[in-house]
Amino acid sequence: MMSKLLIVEDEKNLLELYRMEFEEEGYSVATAESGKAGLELSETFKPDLVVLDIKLGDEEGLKVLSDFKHQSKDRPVVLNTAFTHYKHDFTSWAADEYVVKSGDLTELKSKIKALLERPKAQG
Amino acid sequence: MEHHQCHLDGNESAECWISDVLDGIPLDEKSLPIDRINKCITCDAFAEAIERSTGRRRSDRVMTQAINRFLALFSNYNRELNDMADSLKEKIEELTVLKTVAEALLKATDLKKGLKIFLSGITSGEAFGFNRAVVFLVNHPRHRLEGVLGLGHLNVSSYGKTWDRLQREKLSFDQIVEKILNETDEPDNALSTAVAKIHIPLRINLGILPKSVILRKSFRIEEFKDEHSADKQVLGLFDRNPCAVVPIISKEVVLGVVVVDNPVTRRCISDEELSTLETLSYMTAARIDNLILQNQLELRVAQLEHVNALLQDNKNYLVETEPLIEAGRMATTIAHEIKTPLVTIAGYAMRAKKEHADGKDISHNLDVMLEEISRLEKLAGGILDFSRERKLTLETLDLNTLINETLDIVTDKLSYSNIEVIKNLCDKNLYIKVDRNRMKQVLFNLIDNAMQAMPDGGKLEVSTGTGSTYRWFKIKDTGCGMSKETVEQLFKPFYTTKSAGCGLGLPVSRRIVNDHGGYLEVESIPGEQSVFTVNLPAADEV
Ligand SMILES: Nc1ncnc2c1ncn2[C@@H]1O[C@H](COP(=O)(O)OP(=O)(O)O)[C@@H](O)[C@H]1O
Ligand SMILES: [Mg+2]
Repeated sequence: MMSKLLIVEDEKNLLELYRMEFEEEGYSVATAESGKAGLELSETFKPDLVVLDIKLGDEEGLKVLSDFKHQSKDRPVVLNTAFTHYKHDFTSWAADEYVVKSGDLTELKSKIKALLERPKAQG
Repeated sequence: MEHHQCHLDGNESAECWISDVLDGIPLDEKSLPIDRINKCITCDAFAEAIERSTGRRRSDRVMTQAINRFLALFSNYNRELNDMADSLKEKIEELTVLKTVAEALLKATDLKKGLKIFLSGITSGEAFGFNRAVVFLVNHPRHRLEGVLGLGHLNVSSYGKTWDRLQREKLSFDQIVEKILNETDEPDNALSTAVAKIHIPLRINLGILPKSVILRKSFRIEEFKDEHSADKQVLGLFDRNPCAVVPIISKEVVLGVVVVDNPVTRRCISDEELSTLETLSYMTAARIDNLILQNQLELRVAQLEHVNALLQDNKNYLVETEPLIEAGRMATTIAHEIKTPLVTIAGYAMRAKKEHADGKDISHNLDVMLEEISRLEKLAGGILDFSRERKLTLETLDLNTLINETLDIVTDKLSYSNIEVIKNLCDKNLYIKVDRNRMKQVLFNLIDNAMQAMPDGGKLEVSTGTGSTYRWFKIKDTGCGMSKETVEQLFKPFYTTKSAGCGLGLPVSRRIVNDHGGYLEVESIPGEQSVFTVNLPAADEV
């Protein structure tokens, strides 16, 4: 079955790139330009994984991350951001993976693949 | 049997106390009439009581035994009493000395003097006479102990003659205090200088100094060794000396520790000395606490005075520091702003390469790349404007002329965008002294924003006028207007609500206007209109 990805990113061009690339990888992709829109969309779309962009110093972004985790505890969330900064911020530990933004999507793709193939946690 | 009765109790019916003893009731210290035992021995009642209970024949022997027992008890008791009186006297003397130290501390005007007096009390010889004493205070925000002050010599080699001389000189504690209170700007001694470099994190496994703070407990050590500190400097300082560490605690808060040692005499520190030191620490803690607070307050006041002086020196300081503070934040923001388009360009470039290899049309990818590149260019331009040297080339000119010159350049662009220009210029010449190109840049930025606020066309009204000291121009549009939130953020570098904006237009414009001694005002009705007003100081005609 096709895995469903939800990608939240406020840069239109980048969002479009992600959509094209991941659709070509065989995912069913939904996109949102803000955390709020993403949360709403995910109610109906029910993604298997969420890719979330967080801006530097963006309190709201981290809140969105925890909201996504509240929505579904076991669904992986990948943080995709411009800076390594968040790697050290404990609030971002809630994320399952952390990928620094790059034009080369290889790392993002392989981490998403690994997370989706990961056996579901028991319980 | 009247004569069995005790004559000394003043109670005729009381039997002599010896009867109880002879009946086997133990005699405790309280009931032993020590003060009159000599009289009892010669008392008839006493003799008779013994006689009665033992029979005449053995009476002498028993009596001798009893008396010996009493005398033994008595002398024991007496010795204890004397000892007690002696130690009490010592304690009182000790407390008096400690009180002198504590009282002297009250005279201290600042933390440093206070601690010096405290340490002098410990090393002067009247109370303790330790060879050296060092104070470390807790830096609570940093969660560590910091060396502050020491009294005594830094290392044994520097003792030699000086120590002897000091011993001979022997100032009294009062004289020392007097000296401390009168000194001004005394340089730190070598020990204090060395101690001030020591910072020990408050972790229990880092030795007995932090341990003493954390456990609120004193320690006495016969030889200061590796196991007593993880800090090389501390180890070097107390190198194998007999030492004691005592916490200074005020209102449940540990302020720091005092460490004493005897590197010269190498005498071990006794339990008594330790407890006296604890007492001194206890007696002085509140005062030290006050001095620390006062010190912090003085630092804050000094900082404020410094800032105040800067403000006085340079009234523009506030205007200058704001962008400075902003600059630090800006560096991070700039990096972020540049990184995003770069990532996008790289992403599309890789995609283009792949698709090109597959023989596909890659023009869409190239379009996006061009778009992002032009965004980067704009950004670079904005940053340059922002950081450009702010030297103005001033000339006196007429505001209306400047407006007309600028509008001429953009007329085509405006009409092409379905925007009607309404000019409402003052009929007098409005002289201002400005940098022509920079002021044009302000106009361009404002008109650019107005245009972008009216994507479906609208009206752009440009008006000029004058007050008594300021000339002004207004750019009014019938565009989307701004929310309250946007108005608040307007002048923050990089604040933008546009996908292709870089958020530097308004901050740069405001800076230029301010550099001319003018100011920029904004009014807006969301969904209806925005008005930007630039006010500039009036100039005389040349
Ligand atoms: N005339 C205007 N009407 C509505 N909004 C405006 C106007 N001028 C400025 N703004 C708002 O202020 C923001 C910052 O403007 P500016 O600093 O020039 O940066 P940019 O134009 O690159 O976004 C704009 O993104 C916009 O939201
Ligand atoms: Mg602008």
